[in-house]
Amino acid sequence: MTSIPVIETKDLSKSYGHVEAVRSLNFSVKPHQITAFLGLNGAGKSTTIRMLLGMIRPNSGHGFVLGHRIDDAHESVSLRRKVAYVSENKQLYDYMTVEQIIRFTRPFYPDWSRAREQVLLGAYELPPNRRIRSLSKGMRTKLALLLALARKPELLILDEPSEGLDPIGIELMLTSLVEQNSEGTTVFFSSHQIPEVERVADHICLLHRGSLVLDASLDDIRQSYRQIDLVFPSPPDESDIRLAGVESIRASGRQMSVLVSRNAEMLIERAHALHASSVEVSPIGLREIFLQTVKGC
Amino acid sequence: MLWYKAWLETRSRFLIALVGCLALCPRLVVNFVKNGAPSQPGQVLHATHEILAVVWLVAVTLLMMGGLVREKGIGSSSFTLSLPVSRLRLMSTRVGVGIIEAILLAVLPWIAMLFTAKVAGNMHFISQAGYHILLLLGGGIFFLAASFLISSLVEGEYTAPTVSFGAITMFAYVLSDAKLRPYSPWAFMLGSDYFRWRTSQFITPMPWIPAAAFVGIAVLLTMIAIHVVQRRDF
Repeated sequence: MTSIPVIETKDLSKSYGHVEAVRSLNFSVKPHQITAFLGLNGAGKSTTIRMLLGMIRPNSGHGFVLGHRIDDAHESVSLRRKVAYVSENKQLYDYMTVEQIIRFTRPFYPDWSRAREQVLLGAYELPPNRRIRSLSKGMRTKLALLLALARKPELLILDEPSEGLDPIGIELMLTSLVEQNSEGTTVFFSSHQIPEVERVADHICLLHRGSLVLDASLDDIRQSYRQIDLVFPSPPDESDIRLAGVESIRASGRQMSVLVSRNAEMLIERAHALHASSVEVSPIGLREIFLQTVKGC
Repeated sequence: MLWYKAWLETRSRFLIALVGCLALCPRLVVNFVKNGAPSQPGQVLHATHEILAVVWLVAVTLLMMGGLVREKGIGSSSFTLSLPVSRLRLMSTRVGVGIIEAILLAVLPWIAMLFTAKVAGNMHFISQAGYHILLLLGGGIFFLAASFLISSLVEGEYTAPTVSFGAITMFAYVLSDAKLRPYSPWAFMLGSDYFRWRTSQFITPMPWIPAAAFVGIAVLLTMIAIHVVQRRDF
């Protein structure tokens, strides 16, 4: 199994006027994994994805997808042949029918599977002769997913894929992602939905205000991340407990809630040294990590 | 398949325009013949050509609306740009389909006009029809390219056609001045400067040089549009 990253960015940045949408982003996506790209609205997830696919030109930095430079128009065409993508808004051509857009999309991709297309068409209950403009949002999302999942791409990039789907649709989509991944496709998807991320993702990249604030495997997060709640007789200086591995600190009066990714024991020792009257260590879920990390930044 | 997409995208507008031209132009020929004014066969067809030019210009302007910038407005540009094709190819296909539709919108109504004129006993030379069509397309290509450029600069489903019609009207008005008229693509399309009403004949051979100049400007405008879209963020 090769370990060359499927996606790799080096100091990738994008600004709109004075607003920095993506700031010196360095991250990589390993092959054959399902990587979730988490972040609040406006964190820079979609901008990053669009830069990866050549829709937006970065202001600075470099990016590679499947070994192709993202800022080279010629290479971008080659990489898009190997990548399946579902955009955030799932907007397709309103003037086409379901059948017409499938017929239109199919010839662009040598990895298109007619058999898979038919399975998905049946599973998603998409009416072939219906115009896209008359489809519901959920149906449009299913159609956008079909156009990506009917292939066997090297990389599948999905921007908020479950948005607009009902629970059955979400289940079908997640099952398809896992199936695709088991057949060798690397999956990279952005989402707000922590439960679905926890269900399928191997690796988490958390983006906040255009910067990467968490890059870890879900197993590492489960094993290493801890929340330590501390109570002090008098509040200590935050710098006293900001040790290596402390990801965020929330202070409220004499209480402190600290998120650590490692060195929990060392922090507990330091808390006792600072005369903490109460030290409680608890495992922490991705949801709490997400909330604490973005609030603590 | 990009041709298929471009055709489906413009099909309704094109067919409405074509049916409109095919219904209007022969009807005008019949009316002119019935009323006896203009009196000469060549005049009948030239007068109809002037009305066809107006309809053609409106139709072609609307046909050239669309493309990636409009798709950005409605949200489908992400899907288009995820396809493994270059922006140059996407835009070239749109221009190609636009040119074919523009040619059909010039040629088919003229065939209908000639046929109607013949049925009505009003003879006309095919060479004169060819001359009119070349004038229409020679000057019209400028407006086709201008509309393409505006649709590549201006976002919005209604903003782009509004700006296009505004620009075309202003352009035609400014160049209607007697001194500037030789440089007007609109005057060229109408062909009034080359047509002598008294004899119902064109007084010069086909003016290839101005036609080539308008085509050259159209190519330049198209290249600017492609350059703009290639550098744009979507």
